Amino acid sequence: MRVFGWMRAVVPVVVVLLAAPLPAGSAQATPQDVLIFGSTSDVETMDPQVTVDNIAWRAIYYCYDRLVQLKGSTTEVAPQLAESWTISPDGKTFTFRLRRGVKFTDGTPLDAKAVQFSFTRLLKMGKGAAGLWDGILDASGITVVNPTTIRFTLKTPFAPFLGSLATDEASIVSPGVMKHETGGDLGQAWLAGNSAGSGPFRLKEWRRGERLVLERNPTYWGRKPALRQVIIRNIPDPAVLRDLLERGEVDMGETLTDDQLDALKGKPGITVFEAPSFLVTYLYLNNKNPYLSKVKVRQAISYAIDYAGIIRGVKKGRAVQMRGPIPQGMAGHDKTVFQYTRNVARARQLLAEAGYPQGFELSLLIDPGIREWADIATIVQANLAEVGIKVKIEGFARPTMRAKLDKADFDMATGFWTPDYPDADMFTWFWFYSKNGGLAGNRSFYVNPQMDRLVVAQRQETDPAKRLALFRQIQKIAVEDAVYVYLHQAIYRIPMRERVQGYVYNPMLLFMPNFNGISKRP
Amino acid sequence: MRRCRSSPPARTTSMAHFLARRLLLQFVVFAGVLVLTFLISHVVPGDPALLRAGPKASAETIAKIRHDMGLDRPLPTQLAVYVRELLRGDLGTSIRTQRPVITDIAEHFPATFELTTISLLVVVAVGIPLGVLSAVRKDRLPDHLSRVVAISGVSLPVFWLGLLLIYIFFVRLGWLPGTGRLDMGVDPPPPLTGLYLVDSIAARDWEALRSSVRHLLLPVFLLSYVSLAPVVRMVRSSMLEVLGQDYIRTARAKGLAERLVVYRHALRNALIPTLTVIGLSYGTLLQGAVVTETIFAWPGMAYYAVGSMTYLDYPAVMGITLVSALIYTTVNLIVDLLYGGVDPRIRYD
Repeated sequence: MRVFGWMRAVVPVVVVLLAAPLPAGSAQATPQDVLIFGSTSDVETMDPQVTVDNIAWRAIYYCYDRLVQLKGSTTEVAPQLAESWTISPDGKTFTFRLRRGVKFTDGTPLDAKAVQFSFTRLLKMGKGAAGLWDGILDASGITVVNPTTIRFTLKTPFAPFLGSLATDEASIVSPGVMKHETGGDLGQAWLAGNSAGSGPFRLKEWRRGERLVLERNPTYWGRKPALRQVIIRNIPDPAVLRDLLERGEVDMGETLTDDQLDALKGKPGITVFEAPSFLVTYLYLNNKNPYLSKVKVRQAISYAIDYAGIIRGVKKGRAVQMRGPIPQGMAGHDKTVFQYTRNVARARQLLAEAGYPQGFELSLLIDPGIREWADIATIVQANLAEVGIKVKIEGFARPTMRAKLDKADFDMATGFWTPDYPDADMFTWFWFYSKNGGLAGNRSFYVNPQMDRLVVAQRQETDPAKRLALFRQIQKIAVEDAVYVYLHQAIYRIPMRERVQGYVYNPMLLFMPNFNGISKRP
Repeated sequence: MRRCRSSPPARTTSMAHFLARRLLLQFVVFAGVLVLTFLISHVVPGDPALLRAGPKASAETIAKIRHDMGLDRPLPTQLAVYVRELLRGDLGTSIRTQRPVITDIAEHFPATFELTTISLLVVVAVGIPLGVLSAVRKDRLPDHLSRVVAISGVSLPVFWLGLLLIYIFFVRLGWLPGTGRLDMGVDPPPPLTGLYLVDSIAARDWEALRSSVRHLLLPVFLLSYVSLAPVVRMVRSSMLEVLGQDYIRTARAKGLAERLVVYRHALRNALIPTLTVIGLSYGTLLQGAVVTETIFAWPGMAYYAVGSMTYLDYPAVMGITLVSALIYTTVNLIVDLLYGGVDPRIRYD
């Protein structure tokens, strides 16, 4: 039929386009000084004083400097913008001497005034990122002594303060952002899509949902990165990301599932880095629930859970069981504290002693979008059924789940926790202080005046030895009282091409590879 | 362009009347969409302040953020504030990205526009001939084939088909890219319109053009395939109706070439209901774009919408819905205006 004559001309063209693959190698020919990082989630905002999201931190962290930094792969603090510092005997006053001659990428000098501006902006905006210093620091406590000396006077002694200054939230932002202020927003709208730091990189381009390009800061005061550019590509589908890694079109990437990482491992040209992390998975036991308010019931649950089975079945062996609330590798962890293991008979006995030989019913709140939680929930359900506790699994999308957690509208729930600063405070004060009930950290709504005293005391203790002793006591009570079900500490895994060199893992900088130290072999 | 049969002034007034009526109607629809979306998005359980505050925020931080976002005010007040700002052309600030929603939308819109417009063109370019073919060859092989194509398009789940396409053409064969708008190593053309096809031609960046064409193939195929059915079926049925008319018999009787009969006489008359369907199918395309953009990591409006919804980003969700409603109603207004071009008998009074 003549009518379709034109189609005869078009179809071959389409077929040729469809069938023609890119010339071999052209897609892989990324320059040696450009790192392509595939990410399954997109960055929400580039403002370090707003966001509390690790994925955003990955893009932000190396655009900024901080007063101090973490040394290599450790949780020890080393100088960065501050060359040295002194701490007053009462642990409340920190005085920092700043490195001279540092400039932000916008040309503004980085002096004590700029540091004061930066922290004042953070505290004034009061976004999630300011939460670390809630009740500890306010703007009046930041004094410029002279252009190279800045002093922080805390409202209360806070032992982890120095470590907290190495976090993304403590990034020093240039006063130059005020040139972009609109409607009194302290430059928020502008900084959400730009960078204004003094770090080894700066934001070159960001096409949201597509790619974000960091470029080497030509005026960086420290050692210049080997990479000219880091391109963070948004690849939401982990299966596609895995494929691109295999083909060498992506140099590094996350987050892949354990199955995919297992499949990648051993493929030519790929290495999968593995190391223990501080990412812990645990169960919240809402103490406001009449059953769960009883210590024996919480202990019984802690005995009923098959920890090894969860690690084997859900984590494919890539996790270690927690021993108390403070993870291994974190200063303050007590290797000798009691660790629950599955003991069904003991669990039944404890339930009988608590007055519930017949058992009862509880709900378990999860976000089914997190596969690990859904899998854990079914195992917990089976485990507790054996001791007579009937578990109803309730799945809610994350925003709803979080709202329920905050309002204590649940019985049991699954949870993740990562420390924001390198200190056991993150796993004690947050988790057990009665005033932190809800999302703030005490998600079991646990109330114990003795524990309150201890967790506050450790924060204020300036003597490291005495502090350790306090942590030991805290861990003992936390385990005896079975405040949470301490499940496991994950092993962090990240795949990369073998040509990626110089990667240093720091468990405090989860999802934030050291772009400033990475290079690529030819 | 349009053949005038009535006197020009009368024509203009009736046209103006029509436009005024339609715009008023559009305003009513718009207000309805606004109120509904506002209510639905705000009664969903969950609290964006909790998300903004982060996983470890204290009650004070959360309260402050809630206050800053105006979420502690009564719902009607929030709606009134929103409408007031909207009238000033301000869609608010996104909770997730901390930028004006209008900026976010402007940045994501070109990607969606490129995808849906090309898909619409494909739907028209393939759907109309296919519909004509099935009408002309009614109940014969081409008709059956076109029915299979059309019906399978609507009945196969979009996400499944999308994943299948990625699996076959990207994972197995490695012929076509799986996600995004450009290859990993290709730099986007300098932004001009945000449409990569246009921008790369403007910049004479042939590598970017080639890459963006290749990246368009699968999503456009998917999106147009699943939106094809209504057009094909509508063309077929109206063609069948028209082909049975007396004047077609007359045309054939006077010895006119079949091609002229089909295209000049029959199709032109069959196009009016088809136009309506094409206008409506723009809605289907926008809908399909949600899944398509998600699967192909196409950084368009739908992609932005999905991200915003999971974050309970009220201002962004509202903004996207309003802009989509605006696009949809405008497209249909254009379609109504096109009727006159296709059929001179239609008057706007």
